[in-house]
Amino acid sequence: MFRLNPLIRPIPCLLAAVASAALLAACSGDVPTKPGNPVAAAQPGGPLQRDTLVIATLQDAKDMLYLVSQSTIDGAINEMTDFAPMDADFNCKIAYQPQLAASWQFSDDGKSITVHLRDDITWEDGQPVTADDYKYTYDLAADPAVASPRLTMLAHMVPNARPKVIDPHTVEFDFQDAYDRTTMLSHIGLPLVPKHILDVPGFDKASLRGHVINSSAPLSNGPWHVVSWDKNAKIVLEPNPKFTGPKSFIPKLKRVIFKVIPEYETRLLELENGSVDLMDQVQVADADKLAAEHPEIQLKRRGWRTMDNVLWNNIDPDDYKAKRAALTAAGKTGEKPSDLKPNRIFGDRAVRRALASAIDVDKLIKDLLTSQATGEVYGRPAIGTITPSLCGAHNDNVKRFAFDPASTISQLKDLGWTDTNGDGWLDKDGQPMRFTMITNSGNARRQKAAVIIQANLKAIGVDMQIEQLETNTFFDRLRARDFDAALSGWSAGLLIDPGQFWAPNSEFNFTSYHNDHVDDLIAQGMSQPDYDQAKPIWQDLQQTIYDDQPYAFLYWMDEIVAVNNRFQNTAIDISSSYRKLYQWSVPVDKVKYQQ
Amino acid sequence: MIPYILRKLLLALPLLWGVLTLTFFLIELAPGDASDAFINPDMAPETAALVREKWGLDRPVGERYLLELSTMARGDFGRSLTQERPVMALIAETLPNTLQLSAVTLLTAQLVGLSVGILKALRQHSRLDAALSVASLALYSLPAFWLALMLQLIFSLHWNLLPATGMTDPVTYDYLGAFGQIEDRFAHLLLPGVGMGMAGAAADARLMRSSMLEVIRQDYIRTAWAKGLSGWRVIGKHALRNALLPVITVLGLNLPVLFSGSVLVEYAFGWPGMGRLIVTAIEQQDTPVILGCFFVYTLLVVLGNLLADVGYALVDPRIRLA
Repeated sequence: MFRLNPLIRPIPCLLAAVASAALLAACSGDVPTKPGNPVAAAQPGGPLQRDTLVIATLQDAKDMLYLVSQSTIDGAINEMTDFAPMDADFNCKIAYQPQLAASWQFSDDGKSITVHLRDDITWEDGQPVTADDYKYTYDLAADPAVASPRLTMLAHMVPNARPKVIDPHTVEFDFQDAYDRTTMLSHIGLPLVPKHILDVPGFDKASLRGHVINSSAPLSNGPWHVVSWDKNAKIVLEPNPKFTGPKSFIPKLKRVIFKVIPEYETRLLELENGSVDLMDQVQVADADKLAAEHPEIQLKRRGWRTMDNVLWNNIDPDDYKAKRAALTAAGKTGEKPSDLKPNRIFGDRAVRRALASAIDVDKLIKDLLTSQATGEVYGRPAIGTITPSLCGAHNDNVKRFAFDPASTISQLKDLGWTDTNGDGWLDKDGQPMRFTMITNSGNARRQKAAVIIQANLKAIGVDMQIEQLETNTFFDRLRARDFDAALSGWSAGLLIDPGQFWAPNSEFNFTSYHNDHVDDLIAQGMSQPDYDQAKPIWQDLQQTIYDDQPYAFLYWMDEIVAVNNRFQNTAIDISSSYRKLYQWSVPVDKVKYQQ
Repeated sequence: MIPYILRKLLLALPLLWGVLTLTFFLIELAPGDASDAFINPDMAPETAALVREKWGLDRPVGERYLLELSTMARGDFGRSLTQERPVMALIAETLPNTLQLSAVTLLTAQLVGLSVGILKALRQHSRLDAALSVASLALYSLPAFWLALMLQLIFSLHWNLLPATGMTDPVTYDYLGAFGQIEDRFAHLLLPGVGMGMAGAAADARLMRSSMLEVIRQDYIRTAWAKGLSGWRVIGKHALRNALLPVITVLGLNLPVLFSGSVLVEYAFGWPGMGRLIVTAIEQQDTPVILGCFFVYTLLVVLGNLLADVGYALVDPRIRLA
């Protein structure tokens, strides 16, 4: 335990006072809501369980039901406590494996899926998991009173068959149309809620998030269960002794603790002093330090999931604003403004293409995403919004515009942009090429990137100012199309849906980019039942969009996860930093915590 | 004294109304609302609209303001938008932790600050006085957040003496005996409570020094020395009581700083108190939780000032509260 620092010995009365506070607190509160056994019992025939994994997390969990959960930490705990219908493996693409669903069949027309559930899975309270739970889960997801963030999963389903209960362990989902089968499977994969707990008199669906099984004591049917949850402090999970699923899912660790540490520097410090075993989103500079000073910590790469880009607004923001106001005044709030004026600078595709050669993406990667000590590179140039981790679907053959400022100057000159008045800035029709690029504050990487891009553009006579905005304000400006240029980013999904970013009616098509060929490709790609059949369509889409340059595509970032190397079988991948924790183990001679 | 206290409490009502009104409209002025968390490419566009309707965010501002005020007037803080749980329950989970931390910080600041201040006054112009002045000025000037990180770096990383964050050890606490649990909590209180209290002590020490210097030059103190009283009786009994008067006034004024400062300290030390609750609520624009927390903070400040007034009267027999 700790030793008292001699510096504080001269103030015994103070220590006594602090001790009194500690005594009161120790005697009064923070009793675990569901105390677990001091030594987690191994299930009969299951593996020996030893040691504890302490994960540092930026924020507390909020929702234990996947139906309403939103944060990464919620998702990690959901995966541990829910024996979901399917398990998603990632190897170049998502592939679903049976879990609670023992098997499934698509109908001949591809518009129905029949799912056969295992009959041996029970909730923690001993009640069986049945098809009624499955149906009730989707009924809740569809209920407007719940306002589930999973509503999009139901969009293609036939309302009275989402799903139909065939027998206690069989359901059938009917869809209005057939589309990518992996995406369809993802849509029927909601982890279940216990109907016997929720569907009782007095249950208010509008308060589902406040229900005890969501907000404090979740009911598990998976390999782990929550034994205590001290809000904003820690969540403790142990192997679920009532888990009735396959033995291969029985955890090999005795305990997993999510410790809430909001401040990045403090999370890093606790990783270094050994108080926590796993920390994600490690910055490149800190990865250097960890590699040099902490041989007990291994660094893992998660894959290309997040990216930064410069968004060039294709339309005139003032025109958009005026037409939006006119629609609102006419009570047509749901309608989108049309026939918009192109942006003075970026409405011209040729200008956007010329500017692509003015931004030194390789320098951005070298300065921002490369280890100064080891030369390890944690970034790669981006050519679109489909992650390079989706091998085959990502178009590796797109030829990037080379960094060539002289070429940009020449192209812009051909387009009429020259320095006619000798003030050092390009102009056309008396208007200088001057604009503001907005970005969000509090992101050191983007702030540095913005400065490098500003210098790149200044070198060719383009006057770009940088404006940092509070995150909500920044997001509001993007949604209102109230910008000329913006430095922003996306976290890419592993199921391909480019319509989110490029369809004309998407709220997230912030640049108001529109190309009929792209719209056709999106429609074609999304209706392909097979991932491999859709690949050439997605490749064509990426080339087309890259040619149009609605964004100056910058870089993908490889997220770094630091984990203590006493853990084995750590399945850290692009889908999660805490994948399949039931597989993680510690060799007997490396166990740190005996309790 | 009781009518005075009741009058003070009644006067707090308009203050509470003012704070809640100002807070509500400041939240309204901020861009976006609690439904923004439901606007992302992975969610159906109608989800945010459903959430806005369900949480009443689509109603006019005036209507929502009156609704919030009437909820408060009924003594109920309403329900959190994002968690759909009673705000009272959320505050009840976190307030004791904040009070525990604030109490230790306050106690440390007072005990150390007063002791050092007296010592500096009695050894005026000595090397000790100069050294303590430099130290207290340095502590007083350091930003709390930076100081917190330095304390963690020194005591937790380099010397590995004390835990850096949290209220208890996440792994071992549940398996410790009663004494072990007290020891564990004590260890976790040292950095945020005592460490940050030391920073507060710097200001108190400077105030106490000047106040004590003024008092010990008074005639009645000279008389006490002339009577041959012991140093302890002269300083501890005659001088201290009068020198404490300005300190008590400042203590009352400092309580708001203590509670608002806890927001930063709780964040830095991962302390699960009300400061963290309010930061999260502000990030999520969860209006009922923000208003509930500000209500409690305001009430604590009013009570703190009241305690200072009462303490003032107790220390100075010339003052009668009426």
